[in-house]
Amino acid sequence: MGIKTVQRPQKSLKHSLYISALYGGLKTTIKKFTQNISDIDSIPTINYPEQQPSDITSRYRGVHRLTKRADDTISCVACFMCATACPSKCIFIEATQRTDGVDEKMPRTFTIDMLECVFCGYCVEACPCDAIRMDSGIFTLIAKQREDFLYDKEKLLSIKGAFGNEVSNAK
Amino acid sequence: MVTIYVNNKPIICKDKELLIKVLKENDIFIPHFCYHESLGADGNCRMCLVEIEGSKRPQIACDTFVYDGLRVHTKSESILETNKDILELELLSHPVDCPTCDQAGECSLQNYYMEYGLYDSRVSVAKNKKDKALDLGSNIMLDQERCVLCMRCVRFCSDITKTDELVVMGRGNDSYITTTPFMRLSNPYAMNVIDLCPVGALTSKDFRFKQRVWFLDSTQSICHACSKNCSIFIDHNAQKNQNDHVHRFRPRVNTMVNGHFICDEGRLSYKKANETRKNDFIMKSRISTYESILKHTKKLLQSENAIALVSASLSVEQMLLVKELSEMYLFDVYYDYKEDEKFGDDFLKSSIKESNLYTAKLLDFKLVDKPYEESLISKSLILNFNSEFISKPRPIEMIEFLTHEGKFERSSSIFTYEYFHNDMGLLINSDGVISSYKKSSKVKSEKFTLLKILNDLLDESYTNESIYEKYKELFFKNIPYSKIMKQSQRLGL
Repeated sequence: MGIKTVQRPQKSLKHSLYISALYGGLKTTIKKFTQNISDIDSIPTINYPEQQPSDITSRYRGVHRLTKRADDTISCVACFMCATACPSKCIFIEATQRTDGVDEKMPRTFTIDMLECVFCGYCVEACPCDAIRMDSGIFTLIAKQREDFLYDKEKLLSIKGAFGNEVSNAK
Repeated sequence: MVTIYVNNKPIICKDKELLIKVLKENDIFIPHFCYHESLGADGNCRMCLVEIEGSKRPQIACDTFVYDGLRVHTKSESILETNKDILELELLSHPVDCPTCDQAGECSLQNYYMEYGLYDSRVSVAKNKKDKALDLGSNIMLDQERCVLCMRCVRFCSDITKTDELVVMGRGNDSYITTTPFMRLSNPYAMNVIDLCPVGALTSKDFRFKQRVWFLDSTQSICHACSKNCSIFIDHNAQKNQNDHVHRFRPRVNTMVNGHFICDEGRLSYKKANETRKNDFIMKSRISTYESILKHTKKLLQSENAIALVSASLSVEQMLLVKELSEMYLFDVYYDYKEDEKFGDDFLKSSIKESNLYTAKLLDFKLVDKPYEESLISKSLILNFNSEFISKPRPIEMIEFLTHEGKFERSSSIFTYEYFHNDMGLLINSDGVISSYKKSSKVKSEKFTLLKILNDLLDESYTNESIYEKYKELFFKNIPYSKIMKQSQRLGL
């Protein structure tokens, strides 16, 4: 493969004095300042937490949750695809023999360390059973101690989806 | 010797050899289910079809014998199409339950699908239903839906163990593998069918759902369960924030020792690797530091009249260093071994349960016998190198080098050292074959190796290689260390 050499633009006296650039920058600042002062309501920033965001859609990657199938059994079959795809290695699963007779395998424990999670959504993409989703709409994580950020199976199952479609789409 | 041409590249091989064997030995990718080096060809899976110049139709490589000038194609367009169709046939009724299948990651069906398949299923009718998760006995689970009926397991039970526990029942589309009526799988080599099975039909009950195989690291090692010294892979890993854990032993092909198999007892002896002592040093019943107990031991060795007892499972290098130590401080070294007549057979199980008895005899260590008991009377210090046969007739100073919990816990001074799964070394089996086991580079060891402790006692800095090289002329027929690291070598009895 060949390499294309691009000549850097030569600095002229006008550029090295920075006066025109300074002027340009200040012009934008002053323009926006007067605009915002005259029309305060149109500023996109909201007064969180008194005001809650209204633009969280079903595509937003919130806190994870585990789904159930139509017959109220856990969808997860402990295939470890999410743990394999996870770049921060924060999903801890222990598999066991299934007891509800639906499939062969299920997670005995399923823990996500929310402090290590980077909310990339790879686990959701990797899941072949639509068992893990990030459609809870929860965008803040609050806890009083570090241990509380370890979300276990029961907690993940108890989180409800915020956009309908509760039941797993898998088989 | 003849010359054949595979994909237009010449290969020199023995005349009348099986084509699939030649291809596999030369690392040419050839998909197959039913052929296995130890079981021979069966020709039922049709997966190994190749194109042979001059023949009308594709031929199976496992039933073609090579001859001079044979021209084979494994990558031509028409043969790839054929392989793809055969694979589709094998997968017709496959349940595709890879998420719950323990074989996923080391499954031939998966590998070949990625190589040849990559199609969407064209099956529009319901798939065949068969039994799943059947416990056949001997720690083996059967899933009939995943089976491709290659009959490797059936042939293993009829040809190798000659116990005939597995059969194929039913006909055509409905045939399935099961146990012979009124029988369960029960032979001491039964778990080898798990490795033989190219798909997830036969899986281990012991390993069931423990780990996905792609998380495991494999280390080349040697089974320490008896004096046969079968070559194995140790599959282990350390999960995040946890210590390294051994999950299973798998046989490693070594034609000089064990061929393709290991016995079930050896396979399940991996559990011992997870039950090792905590990393601690005990001096006079109290937890102490390595330096202080080392100083204490050196002082005792100089002042007291010592005797040493070694386990006949220590590695060659460890025994050589014990020998050095005995020459430095002038004490006798004794060994003892466990023998279990019921355990031994004429295949892969030896009644001697120690893995390096040969070396103990070679180095002129003395067998624990009457003279040992008698000489104990005049001694004032016992050095115990991981032997389970240690007895303590009277209050006597004792220094133990242990991997597992000992008999006289907290009543003597104890050095804890690494068990073999986290160490490297050489072993000589009962047939006089010297083999090496290796250390995983991924495991951070917390414990000292016995070699390091002995080096510190000797004020020397031998490595595994240098101590072996020092004695190779005297005891080991001058076989170079590097040669043993590559391949087992025969010393002869």
